[in-house]
Amino acid sequence: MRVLEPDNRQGTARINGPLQLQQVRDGLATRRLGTNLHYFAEIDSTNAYARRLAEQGAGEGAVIIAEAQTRGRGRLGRSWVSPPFVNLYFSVILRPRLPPVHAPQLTLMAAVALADTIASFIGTPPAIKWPNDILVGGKKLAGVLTESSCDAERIEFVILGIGVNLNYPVALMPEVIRERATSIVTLTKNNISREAFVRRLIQDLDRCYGELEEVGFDSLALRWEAFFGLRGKGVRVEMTDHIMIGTAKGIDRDGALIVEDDRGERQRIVAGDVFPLED
Amino acid sequence: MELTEDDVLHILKLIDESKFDYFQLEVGELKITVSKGDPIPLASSPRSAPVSQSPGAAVVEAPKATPAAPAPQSAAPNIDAKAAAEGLLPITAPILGTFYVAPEPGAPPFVQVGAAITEDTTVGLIEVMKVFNSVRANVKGTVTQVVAQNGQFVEYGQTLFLVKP
Repeated sequence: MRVLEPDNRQGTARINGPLQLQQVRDGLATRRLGTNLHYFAEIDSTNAYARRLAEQGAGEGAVIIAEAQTRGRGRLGRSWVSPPFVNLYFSVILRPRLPPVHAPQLTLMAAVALADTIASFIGTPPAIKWPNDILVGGKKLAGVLTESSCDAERIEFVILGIGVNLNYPVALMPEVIRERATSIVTLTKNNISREAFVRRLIQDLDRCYGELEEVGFDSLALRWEAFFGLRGKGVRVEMTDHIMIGTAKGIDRDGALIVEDDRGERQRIVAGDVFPLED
Repeated sequence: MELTEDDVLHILKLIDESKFDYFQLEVGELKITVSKGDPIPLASSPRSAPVSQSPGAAVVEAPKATPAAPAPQSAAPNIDAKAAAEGLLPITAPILGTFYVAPEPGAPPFVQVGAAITEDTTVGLIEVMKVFNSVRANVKGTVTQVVAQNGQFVEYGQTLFLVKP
């Protein structure tokens, strides 16, 4: 596996080596998240490790970061591209005091926080693809995958998993994904400090999570919609058993996507993949 | 104007006998939509396959999974009555969403008929808005029936499994 050569344009920032946890901790200002940082050179999956920790009673706010994931793969066995020292593979344990029906709001909250963090590094707001992917120029820069354990009454824990392409030039990505992915270094022409990115991400997640619990979802939903690139545009929603064509109208208070078909009927979409109609 | 149940049945009969494939009627707050062709997607029924169990999803779109079998619309309506009559305990859906019997396509199911389970056994996954929620048994015993099918959209409280305590 190819590891990129160091880029000296970032001055003293350590680039393309192992993540320096102390640099992440330095200046980290949060209420709950990032109190414990777990770092691995390689792990099966940060979400799987976080789940094991949570099942053993780990407290809220623990963050798991790995340089490489051996089981970062799709459901049909397609391997994820997971080179070390260039990207971010990150999971955090939450124990929200929210009813289970509101668990999906955490995914959208995380997407807003991630979009805020990315915007601060690339200088322009990225787009959120409902409900959980971050795109720039129609190409995937980051994603959120949420796992939870709950019963009918309460959420026991939630694992927010986040993957971001940071210092991984598109030109070095496998051909099969090159057309569909992008990275911060490709967008900005500069490697960034991964430590600064992680610190900022933890802080943005901490802030947005606190807002969700204390104020509710409404203001986060407005900010989510500000990042939503497809509002008012034609979309194709691919579901297991059919495809819907319509106009994206935004999200409702539960985070469901509202799509209006050509008859003027509005549908709540709670599962499916959404694409711009011109795709 | 109010519509009685007989009125609605009469309307359905007229539509069924007509040449129209699609019919929509709004009377005040009451709204009736009838289709003889493709099913009309219900507000809570759209569903998709899960994409990944790993957050390392930043650079690759996962291929879509196909449910192992077509999803029936709902469990048999008398399943709960059957369970009660036979002394069986239901495991129900804690949230609405798409139900999966296995952690990923091709993997063995979490549990099968005859499996001994405890309260903490994970028996399935329900996905809604890319949140994958583990379904815990919350009962102890032996699985006697897998009621919901892989890929089926389930409602809150819908019976997924029956368990003999």
